[in-house]
This record gives sequence, C-alpha cells and structure tokens, in this order.
Amino acid sequence: MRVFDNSLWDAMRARWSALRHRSAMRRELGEELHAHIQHRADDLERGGMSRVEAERQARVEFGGFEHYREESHSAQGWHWAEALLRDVRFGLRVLMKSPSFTAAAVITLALGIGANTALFTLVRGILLRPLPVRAGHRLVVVWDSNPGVGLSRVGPSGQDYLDWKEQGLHSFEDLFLFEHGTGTVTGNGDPEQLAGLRVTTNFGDFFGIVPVVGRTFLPEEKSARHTLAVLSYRYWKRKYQGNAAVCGQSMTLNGENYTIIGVLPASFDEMFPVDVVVPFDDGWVRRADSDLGVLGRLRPGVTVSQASAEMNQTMARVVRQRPERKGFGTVMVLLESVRMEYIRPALLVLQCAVAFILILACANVANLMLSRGTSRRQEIAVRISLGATRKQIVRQFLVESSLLAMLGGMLGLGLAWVSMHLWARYGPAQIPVPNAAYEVTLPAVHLGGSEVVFALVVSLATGILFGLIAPLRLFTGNTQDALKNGGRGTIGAVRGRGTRAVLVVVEGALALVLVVGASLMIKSFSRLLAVNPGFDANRLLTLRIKLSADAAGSAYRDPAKRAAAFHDFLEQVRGVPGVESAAFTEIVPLSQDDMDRGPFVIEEKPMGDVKPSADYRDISPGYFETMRIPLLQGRSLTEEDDAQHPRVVVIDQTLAREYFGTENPIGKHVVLPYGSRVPRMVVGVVGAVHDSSLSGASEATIYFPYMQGPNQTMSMVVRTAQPEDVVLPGIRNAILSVDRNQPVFEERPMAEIMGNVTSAPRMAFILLDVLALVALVLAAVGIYGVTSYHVGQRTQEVGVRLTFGATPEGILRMLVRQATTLTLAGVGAGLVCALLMTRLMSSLLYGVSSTDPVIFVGGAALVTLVATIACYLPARRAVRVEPLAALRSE
Amino acid sequence: MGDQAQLLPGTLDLLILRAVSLGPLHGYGILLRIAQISGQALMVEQGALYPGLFRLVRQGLLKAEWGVSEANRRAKFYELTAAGRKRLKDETESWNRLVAAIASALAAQPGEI
Repeated sequence: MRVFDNSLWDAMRARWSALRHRSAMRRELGEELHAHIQHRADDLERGGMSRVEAERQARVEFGGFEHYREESHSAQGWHWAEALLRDVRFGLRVLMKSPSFTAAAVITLALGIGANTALFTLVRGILLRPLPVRAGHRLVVVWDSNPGVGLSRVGPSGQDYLDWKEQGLHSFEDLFLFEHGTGTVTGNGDPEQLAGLRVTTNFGDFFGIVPVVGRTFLPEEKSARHTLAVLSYRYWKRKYQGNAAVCGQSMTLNGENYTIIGVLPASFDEMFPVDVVVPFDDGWVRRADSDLGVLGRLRPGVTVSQASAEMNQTMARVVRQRPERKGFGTVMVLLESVRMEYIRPALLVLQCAVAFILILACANVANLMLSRGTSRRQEIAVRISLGATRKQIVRQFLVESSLLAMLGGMLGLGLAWVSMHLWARYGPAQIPVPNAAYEVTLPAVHLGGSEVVFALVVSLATGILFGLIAPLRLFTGNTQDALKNGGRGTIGAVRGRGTRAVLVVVEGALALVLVVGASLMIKSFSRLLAVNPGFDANRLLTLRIKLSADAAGSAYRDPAKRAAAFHDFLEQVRGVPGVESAAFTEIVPLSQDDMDRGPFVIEEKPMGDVKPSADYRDISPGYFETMRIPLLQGRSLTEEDDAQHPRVVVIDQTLAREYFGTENPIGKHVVLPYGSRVPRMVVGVVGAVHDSSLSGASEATIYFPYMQGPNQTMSMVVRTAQPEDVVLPGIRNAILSVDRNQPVFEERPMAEIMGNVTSAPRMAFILLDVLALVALVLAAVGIYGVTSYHVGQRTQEVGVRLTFGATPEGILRMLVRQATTLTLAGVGAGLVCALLMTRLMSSLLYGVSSTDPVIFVGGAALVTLVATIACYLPARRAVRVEPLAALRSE
Repeated sequence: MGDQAQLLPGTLDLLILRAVSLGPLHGYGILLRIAQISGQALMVEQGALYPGLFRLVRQGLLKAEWGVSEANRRAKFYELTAAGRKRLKDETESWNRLVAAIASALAAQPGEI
C-alpha cells in the first residue's frame, strides 16, 4: 500500500512541479541534454579527438536534439496542460466568433447561477448560521401555555422559573431567565432611553460569553440588581467610543447608580439587540409577573420532546403546590427554529423557485449547445477524419461549455452581489416571531468564500453537464454521414428532435409552475393589503414614553402622579401645530409588542366549560377617535373614567359576537379572575382590530381606561395633518416641556409597523414575481430557439411544399401546431407539478387557496400564449421566403 | 560501439530501471551502464533515452536530483523509487517468463507437436 501511495504522490508531485515551473523545466531540460553531449564529448576527446571534433561527433550521435527535447518535454507531463491551454484559447476564439450565441448562453447562465448564489447566501446567512453563543443548537425557548384559555405561547413568570429550577430538571444543563425592558440614562449628555436586558446571574456562563472588556456577572451577585451593569458592544462603541477604560465607571440608569463591569462581544448584539444588561435579584424574580423569557440549554443528546415530557411531569408536581397554575403547561421550541419560523417558508419557496430558474437556464444552454453542435457537425467530422480522437473532441466541448459556465458564473456572482446590496437596503431588518411577542434582528448577510465556492461549483457542474450533451449526441451517429451530408445536419435534426422535445416540455412545465406560484403570491398579497386592520394607518405616528417607577426616589411610583403626567403629555401634544388628535394605548396594534392576554368572566352569564379570554388594552380617552376605530354601540371612554369613578370597559365587536351573541352587552359586567376581581361595566362596543397579524382573525379585546391603573410605559398614537416626520420634533418638545428627563423613543409611523408585519409575504411576493418573469422569458427564449432552429432545418421542405402549391397559411399552421403540441404537453406536466408544489406555499398564502382554479387556468393560458408566440415568429419567417430561394438554401 | 542488437519495443524502460537499480546515474551514465551490462550488445540511441527517462519520472518510478558528475559537470542523477524497484522486479519476472516461453517455442521440434 505504501508503495502505491508513494508512487502516486511522486507522480502528482512531478506533475505539479511541472505545472508550476514550466519555463524553468524547459531550461533545465536543455541543460540536462547538453550535459549529456558534453559527457559523451569528454569520452570521445579521451579517445583522441580534438574537443571541437568530439563535440560535433557527440551531437551527431545524440540524434535530433530539438526532436528529443520536445518529446522529453511532453513526456514530463506537459502535453496535458499545454493541450488544455490550447483548448481554452481555441474555445475562447470559437465563442468570440459567435457573440450572440455566447451572450445568450452567458446571460442565461448568469441569471440561473446569480439567483441561486444570492438565495444560497441568504439561506446560509439566515437559516443555516449557528447562533453566536455556546451550544446554540441546544438552546430551547420555554413558554407557558394554557390551551384552555387560548394561550399558546406566553412568557413564564419568575415563580415558574424558580419552580423549575427547584424541581431539578434532568433534561437541562441550565435554565436562564431574562426580561426585555427599557431604562433611562441620565447624567451623561441628553437623557436617553436604552433597550435593556435583565438577566439571571448565570448569564455569562449560560451563553459562554467572552467579554471584550472586563467581566460578566458572577453567579453569587444576585443582589447586585441596582449596582452592576454590562454594556453591549454597540452601545459601548456608540457612547464610549470603544474605550477600554469604561470598566469601573458608573452610569445613572433610572435614577440609580450602576458600576459598569464589562462589555459584551459584538456577536451578542445579534442575539439580543440591547444596550445594557443588568442582573435580577431573587426577590425581583419571585415577584416578577409573567411575560418573562426563559431559555434552557439541553443536555447533549436530549431531544426537545424528551425535555417537554419531563417538563410536563414537573408542571403536574408544581400544580400540586400552586393550584392557580392548573391548566398550564409548557411549550418548548429550539431557539434556532423559533427565530426563523416566520421567514423559513418564504425562503424555502424561493429556493425551489431559483432551482427551477437554474434548470431552465441549463435547459436553454443545453439547447443552444445542441443546436450549435449539430451545425458544427461537419467541422467535427473533418477534425475526426484528420485524426482527432473522440477524447479530444469531447474535451474541446467540455472546455467550451465550462468557459461559458465560468463566464456565466462570474456574471452571476456579480448579480448575486448586487442582489445582496438590494437585500441589505430593502429586505426586512427585523422579523417577528409568530405568537411570541418577540422580534429577531436578521443578521447581515454577505457574499463570502463559501458563496463564491458555491457559484463556482454550480457553474462547473452545469458546464460539464451540458457540455457532455452535445458531443454524446454527435457520437451516436456515424461521422462519415455528416461529412457526406456536407454538414446539412438533416440527420442531426432528426436525432436532436427527441432531446429538444424534452427541453421544450420541461421549459413549459417549469415556467408554468413559477407563473402559478407567483400569481398565487400576487393574489394573496393583494388580499392581505386589502385587509382592513380596523383602524386608519394613514398619517398616524406612534411613539413610546416610559415613566420609570423603578428607582426608590422616583415620583412616578405613585400611580396618580403617573396618570397626571400622561394627562399632561397629551394636553401638550394636542396643542402642537399639525397634530389633529392624540391618545395613549398600552400596545400599538400590529407592533408585536408584548401581548397582554388573559381570561375573563361575564358576571351575568356563567359559561360553564367555555373559558373566555381576551386581549387586555389600557387606553386613554380619545384613542378610538384618533385610531378611527368605529364606535358601534354605547359610549367611548372619557376623562371621567378615572380612579375616582366606577370601573368601566369597552369591548370590541369580536368579543361581543363571540360571547354575547345577540344579547346586548352594554351594562353587563366583566371580571378578571387573576386581577382585583372588581366587576367592570361594559359601556361601549367598538369595531374589531387586527392586533397581532393581518392574516389572522382579530382577537376578542377588552379596553380599560388607563387612568384606572396607569402603567409605566405607554405608547402615544398621534393623528397628524402633515407628514409624520414634520410634526415629530414639535411633539418631542411638547413631551420634554412636561418632564425634561423623559426620553421619547421608538417613534415609528404606523405605516412602518404595517410594513414590518407584511415583510415576509412582501419579500416572497416581490422575489417570486421577478423569478417568474425571468422564468417566463427564459422559457420563451428557449422555445423560440428550439422552434426557429427546427423550422430553419426545414426551410427546404417548406420550399418544396410551397412549390407544390401549399399555401403559406397552411404551412404556418402546420409548423405552429407541431411546435405548440409540445408546449401543451409541457403545460400539462406543469399543471400537475404546480398542484404538487404550491402546497409548499400554503403557509405563505392568505385568502387564496393553493389550488385556485382561476390562477391555474390563467397561468396555463399565459404560458401557452407566450410559447405560441415564440413558435409563431420563426415559423412566419420561414414561410415568407421565396420558394426557389428556400429550395436553394442548402 | 560495435555490433548492436535491435532493441525490442517496451524493453527500454526495463533496461533503464535495471541500470539505475545498480546505483544513481545521470543520463549518459545510464547509456554506458546499459552497454556495459549487456556486454556492449544493446545500445540505445542517445537522444531517445530522455523521453523514456521523463516518462518513468512522471510515473513515479524514478526520482531525479541535480548533482555533479565524475567529470565535474552538473548533471541530473536518477535513482529508483520504491515503486520503481517493485516495477523492476515484476517486469523482470514477466520478461523471464516471456523469454523462457519464446525459447521453448523456438526449440520445439516437428516431432514434439
């Protein structure tokens, strides 16, 4: 075995060094041969000749010096590389001689390879990229669920986390608790609202964080809640210009002093896009209500379902200690898949689409090569009769098609590069996680080494694939026939017909699948945009204000003070020029902010087994008017509905319909079982609003007057008479005029929030449409090419028919009918494929069935029409020639 | 270089391998060695040696290194690789078989058929 290895190695080394030192090898070879002659001359000289005579004699004995040098040179393995170089040069010359063929092939391939590379980049960058933390593939998100009251994924409470920890779950190495929040930084420039993360102190160890500066929290620093802070990389760069001396400095957050102990690595920004991280203390955890985040790191080898099973048993034990948790279970999903739930279906559908484009492109190029191969039959026959081996001819074809593919690949890489820039500019930056009140920041995707390799491999593979088609076809015939035929290609035409028929059928089918898919997206998207969200999003600005009640000395610990401040904000903002109306809400519809859901009981109407649940919303007076949510019954909320007045609520149409039916809800009372259990009288019914998604049904909602229990953070909605950004500075000033230390944050026009919600379908919609158009064009070009070639081959036949009295119209009909038959076969195959494939898309579709008959028929008609035109044009050209000219055309 | 036998096709490689197996040699040395070990009966046309040599190097049977010859000239010295030694052994055996077979064929008398 070793012998073999060595010899293989030596042979490879010899060849490699031959390649690397081409000219040096030539020189060395000459030197070696000269040394031989000199040695021989030495011997002859010793035999009594003069040196001059000896050298002459030695040269004669050696034989043809140049001949042997060349022969030795090729024996060194040179002929192989040089022949390749010769083939490449010849191939380039051939390609340049027919620029339109080359351009058509290269552009077609570039489209296919470019689209595939771009999507590969996206998929790799988004779906396949591991999380930037230790054991990211073993992290699961743990949610509470309570199917009985319609809660599918709600954040656990602090007590849940402590219970789980206490029960000692074997499936997990560790559990991690976190809470997203905001904090106000003061005393360092303008007051600023930071995105914060509150974490358990196992934070650093859980994610395997290596801080760029300083350290993360120690497990025992559980009471450091108000003293220690870790900065995120992006905030450190922005605020402290990446100064390493930041550790040990203090910062004022929500009026309290924190010592900065470390800076997180840049990669962590993608995991949690926050500015500052502070620890929980145990007391806080115990009191913390639901809507926290829990992540678990599974032990190696433990599956999610095993962990779920253990968790369910644990929950059963917990319920024995805490009966109020009855009905609750957990839902566990791998973090990696949760993050991409929303975008994965769109990407997968697009991936199928671009794969089709590549197949179409290859079919077109194969067809081009085939036609050309047939017309080059004579050239090849001549070369074979002059002694070229089949191997050489095949190599020539392979080199030519690989050249084409490489050119196409390079252009395709350029296309992919452009697409990535467009993606960075227009693609969604954040995507929501369905039902989880959580958004994921999409990582930036770049063309990297593996993408270039991918494009290269795809190019070479396609090059070799369709490079082989033409010569294989050629060699199945007798080359002598081709020579005798004078390259008329009649035999080739007959032979190639089967392959071409397959190509036409495949092209028609693929184009139809894409056209149907794209049409479904168009219809679905227009349905989605036509959904009435239940409010008017036009010229509606949203922003958030937080009155921090965390700090011990904060005036806003008093709910009455908060209510008064919010009241003042509204008064001031309503006075700003350009503001039509303004109001507060706890949660802006469609913003994917934390959902507040819960059960309720209708006092007058025991429901038995039905457990009604609804979204809770605290709103200010004027909210329905500002949002233009129609009041259907009763009255709206007013300034009178404050803490000093009876508790009242407004319900929406969905709740009224689902739980009151035909009864009049006005005057009835709702009770929240987990709250203060005060009956609240229903005073009004308003129109339904799409709160979490446009495509989903609107949820039953209860609106509470915010004055009867104001939160710390509220969102202001402002209806403006002018564009939002014109009015925004005035609004900001108006708020600061009430309290200098209150930052305004997350200022977003409602239109932007709506855009976020429709980002995935919009992305799939735009890209799929572009791809379908490309597919249609490619298929049309392909069918046109096949037909015009085919018709061109029959020019003589057409001439004969014309001479014998056939009408041009009759011939035209015949030609088109023959070509269209194939297309129809393709359309039929395409319909079947589309029926199977569009099911993949169903999760992307809204308001349209994946087998919508109108779209299927319309798509089939469109593809048939385009294909018929592609057949008609060359056929018409063929029958327009003079019969005699046609007869002489050969 | 007097009367010489005609070199059979394919035997040059074997001769080169055999010559080199007795110690590293440069090209001209290989020629002399072949003449010497064949009792001056086999002579290779001098230039024709080199394509053969390079083919053997490319096949990994020989390896070459520049050195200085006994005549104090720079020359390339060839040496067997492990694969070359194995090839020489195999080829020698099959050559001997062939020679024996041919010899017995030629020695056959009419009565023995």
